[in-house]
Amino acid sequence: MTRNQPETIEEQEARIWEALRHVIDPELHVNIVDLGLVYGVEWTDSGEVHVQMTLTSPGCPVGGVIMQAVGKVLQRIPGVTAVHVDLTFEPRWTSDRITIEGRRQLAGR
Amino acid sequence: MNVLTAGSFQPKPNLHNRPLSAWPARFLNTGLVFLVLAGITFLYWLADGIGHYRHNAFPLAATHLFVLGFATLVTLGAMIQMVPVLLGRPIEGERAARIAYLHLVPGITLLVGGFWQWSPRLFGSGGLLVVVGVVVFVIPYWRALWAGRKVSPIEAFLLVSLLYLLLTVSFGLLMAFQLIAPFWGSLTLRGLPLHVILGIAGWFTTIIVGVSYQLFPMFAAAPGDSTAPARRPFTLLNAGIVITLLAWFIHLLPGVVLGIALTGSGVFCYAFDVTAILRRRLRRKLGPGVGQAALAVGYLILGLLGGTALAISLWHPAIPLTINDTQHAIVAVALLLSAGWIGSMILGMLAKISPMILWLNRYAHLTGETAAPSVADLIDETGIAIGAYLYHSGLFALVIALILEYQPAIVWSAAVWFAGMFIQTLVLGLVWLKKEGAPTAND
Repeated sequence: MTRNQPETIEEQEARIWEALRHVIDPELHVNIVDLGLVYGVEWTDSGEVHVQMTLTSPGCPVGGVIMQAVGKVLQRIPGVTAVHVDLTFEPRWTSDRITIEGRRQLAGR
Repeated sequence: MNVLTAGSFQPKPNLHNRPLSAWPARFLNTGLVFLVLAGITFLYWLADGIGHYRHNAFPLAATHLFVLGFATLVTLGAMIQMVPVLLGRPIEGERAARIAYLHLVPGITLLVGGFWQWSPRLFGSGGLLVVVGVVVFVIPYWRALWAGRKVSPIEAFLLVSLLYLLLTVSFGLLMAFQLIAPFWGSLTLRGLPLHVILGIAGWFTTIIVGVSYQLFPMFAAAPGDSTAPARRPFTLLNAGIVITLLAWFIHLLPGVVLGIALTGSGVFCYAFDVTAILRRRLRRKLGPGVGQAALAVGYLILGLLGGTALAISLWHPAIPLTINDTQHAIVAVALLLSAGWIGSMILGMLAKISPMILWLNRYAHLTGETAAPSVADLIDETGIAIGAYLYHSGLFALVIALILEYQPAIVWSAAVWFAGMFIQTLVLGLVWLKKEGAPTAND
């Protein structure tokens, strides 16, 4: 399978964030980026992606599923060779991290 | 660090959510069948006019169908799936759950049949099976909960509530043995309140209050650490329950009053915390599931106040109550606490938990795909809302009618309440009959 290499790091990072928007919390039905669950993304020249993320609570019943899905959507990106998902609860997630779009979606539910 | 290498990555639907099996669904659906049977039995009893509530076949059968058949089976079923998730670590309780189910269902059936025919030997045999089922079920959970380096407030609630469950069913069995071969004169007379306190306040209230601190924030999308305040009601509730039980046992009235006061304080702390959680929620609409669960807290407060008022009326010589008045009032308070507090909370949370379990079993692997449904897509919330409206309007009217002792209203309001119960049961059962068939079972 031929993979189209991105032209710049910024372009690749944009693709990563866009892919992460496809991971939707099944209970809240808002994507993890707009929920503010993704704390940071790093990309190396060798194609490794490091995602630091959290969950709304440590006991989130879909936490494992969401982390698996992050790996799944990112590995579809051309040039990605490995995905490292680092789950952290420091700092703890708060509602301040939800984007305006995320708030709009939550308010309608 | 979770390392997922692109070349070898195999999506698994579950990381912490073991066990993936049909057993939670079996517990839940069997519980719903028992709920309908409890409703029919209770309706039959009410239509016939309330007789003596103690050692009366119908209310005993209806009560045990409700508290053991419905509420306990559903709670245990939800625990199989949700406790490993809440704790963030697997519990090897699958085999134990299967053995427990095979003891509990026949046990409850025998127990209820025994009450129906008033055969102490029959309900004693059923009770023995129930005790065995409960022991088998709780052992792996106790083991897993103790294994944690630090017991969290939620884990403490789970540990203690399972102990209360075991004490409740064991005490019930002891009472059955007393009826078969009397060995302790005052056990049946003085034991019934202990059995009820252990079951309602100990088992159900403790576990519901405990998991509420996890489930309300989760389903209402309320941010922040909601579990830390749980320590306060945990201490008050358990101190209250233990003091009430001991004081009742040694005939110490001030001790009973102190115990009830402590329990009541715990309940009010809990109600305050739930209100705070719901106030900071991000979801505007609660939905019929969380709405009913929130309403359940109101029933608990009403039941507690009603029970206190009734106790004062019985104790104070200036308030004349006939036996008939007392029986109607006891049934009204019992309904507030059982159908209102326990039933409303379980039905409400079930409207969220059942589709969640189905989703985890069947659709989790689709996360990140466009075809992935949301949890809410898996349940008919309109059906639940209609059922909930009938359930609560019927129940509220029934409690009023019982207090007023107006028999035609008792029967009609009970019928409306039953209709609401039946509709919700139907909708909850249909969750598992979605197009793709039964949930994926790996057992």
